[in-house]
Amino acid sequence: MSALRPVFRFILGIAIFALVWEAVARTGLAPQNLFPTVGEIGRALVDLSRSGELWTAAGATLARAALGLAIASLLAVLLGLAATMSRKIRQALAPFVDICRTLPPPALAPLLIFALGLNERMFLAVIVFAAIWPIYVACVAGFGGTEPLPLMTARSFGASDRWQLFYVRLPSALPSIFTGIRVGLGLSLMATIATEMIAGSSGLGFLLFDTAFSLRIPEMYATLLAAGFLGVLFNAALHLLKQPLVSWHTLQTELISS
Amino acid sequence: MTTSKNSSINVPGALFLVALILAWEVLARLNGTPNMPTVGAVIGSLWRDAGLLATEASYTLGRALAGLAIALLAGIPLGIAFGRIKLLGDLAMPAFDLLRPLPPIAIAPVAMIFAGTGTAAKVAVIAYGCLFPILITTFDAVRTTQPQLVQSARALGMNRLEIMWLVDFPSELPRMMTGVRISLALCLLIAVSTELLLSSNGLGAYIMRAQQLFRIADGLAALVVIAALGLAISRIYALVERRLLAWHHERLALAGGGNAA
Repeated sequence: MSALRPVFRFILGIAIFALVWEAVARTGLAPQNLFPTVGEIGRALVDLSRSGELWTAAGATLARAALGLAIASLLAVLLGLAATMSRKIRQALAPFVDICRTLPPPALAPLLIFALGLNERMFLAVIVFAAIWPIYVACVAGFGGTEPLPLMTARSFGASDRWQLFYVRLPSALPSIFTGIRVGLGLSLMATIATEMIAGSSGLGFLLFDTAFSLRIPEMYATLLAAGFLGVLFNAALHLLKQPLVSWHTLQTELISS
Repeated sequence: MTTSKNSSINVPGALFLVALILAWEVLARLNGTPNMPTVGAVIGSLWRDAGLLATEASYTLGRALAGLAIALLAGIPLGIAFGRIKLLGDLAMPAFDLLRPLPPIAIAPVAMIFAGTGTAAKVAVIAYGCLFPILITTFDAVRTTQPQLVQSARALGMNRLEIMWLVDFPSELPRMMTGVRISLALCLLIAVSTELLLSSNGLGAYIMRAQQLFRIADGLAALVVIAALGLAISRIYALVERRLLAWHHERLALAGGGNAA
């Protein structure tokens, strides 16, 4: 039952959304050439996927966002570990991280094109920059928020600092780290699509602008739908990855709340 | 968030920033390419274009805050209504959940075909992007309002609308502020991004012009201005939040006073 609920919600959401959309399109509340019916968008979706245009674009976007997120997660955890081991490093990084977090990643793209060229390396740089800071902040919070009792227990058994870090702090920080990665996921997808719009010649962001400028309106909405679905898929994949790693934590919170 | 609570200066942090700037300067001088301008060149751009940058920043900031204001005015009442009127929430929230994984910037082409490339289109995208964190945190907060509060309000004879305005809104304000904080960071990000895409004016458009004219130093100067704006906004937010939620922090301090080691 509890596993069925999200699926039911998802289907209900789609049904209500489609219903409202169709109503707006049919009643002419919005200009009809800019607001196609659900059927027209569905047909455009089929056409786009049959021609392969959509698959190529979605594949490019997914590859960029996933690789960028993976690199950002790895770097952020390493940085987070360093910052946990040394107060000096944590302090040194704090203002730098605060500044970086205020910078809109897509704004780096036009400038990075000169330094790195218009290629995948430029994309990766922007995406990693977009995703790394929330993950780093979540890592530092997670490592720092370890409950004192397990730490003191480990210490009283003579565990070394490194042993404590990997066997006590890291597991207890995982739920927080995954929360950070989820935020990073949204940002990496956003940065990918925005950069593809600004500088791309491939990917969903490019296809969105391409279809919009050539006034292939149903195709544009179909691409938008695909982008949303990619986000759902990406989130689900992360959830699957997370489950075995933090199942003990979910169990614990369920026990506490029941 | 990582800065120390007392107002003493973070020495390692300042040293690290200075070291980074020095490293940049050394690299820029060694390379000597226009792709990596020296620190002096960036400061020169800031100085020369100070007036223009201020004007562009006022456009960006104006759009960001307008979008945020619309999101607040729509998101808080909608969130409270969806949370308090169960049927409405059960029907509306799944549809909103569906839109959530879509990056807000992907909406830019839609806004463009409806509203052109002017300010209206940009503000629409910003409002759309900022709506979600506010709506969702408000909805979650209202759904979990302490039942005693609502029951006492009912016993006092308040109707639904009065409960929403007099109980839900103030009691859940601290948790709604989480959504506001997220949206505050988001509005600047989306404002600059939409200006990069639908260029006319604003800091994003300034960066695009700098790129087209091969003036990297100008682009970096604009990034410095954006960072300064972002930092200023989060500082001001922290001040406002402390004022607005003073009662909440006092209560937290009282509750936490017992187990503080």
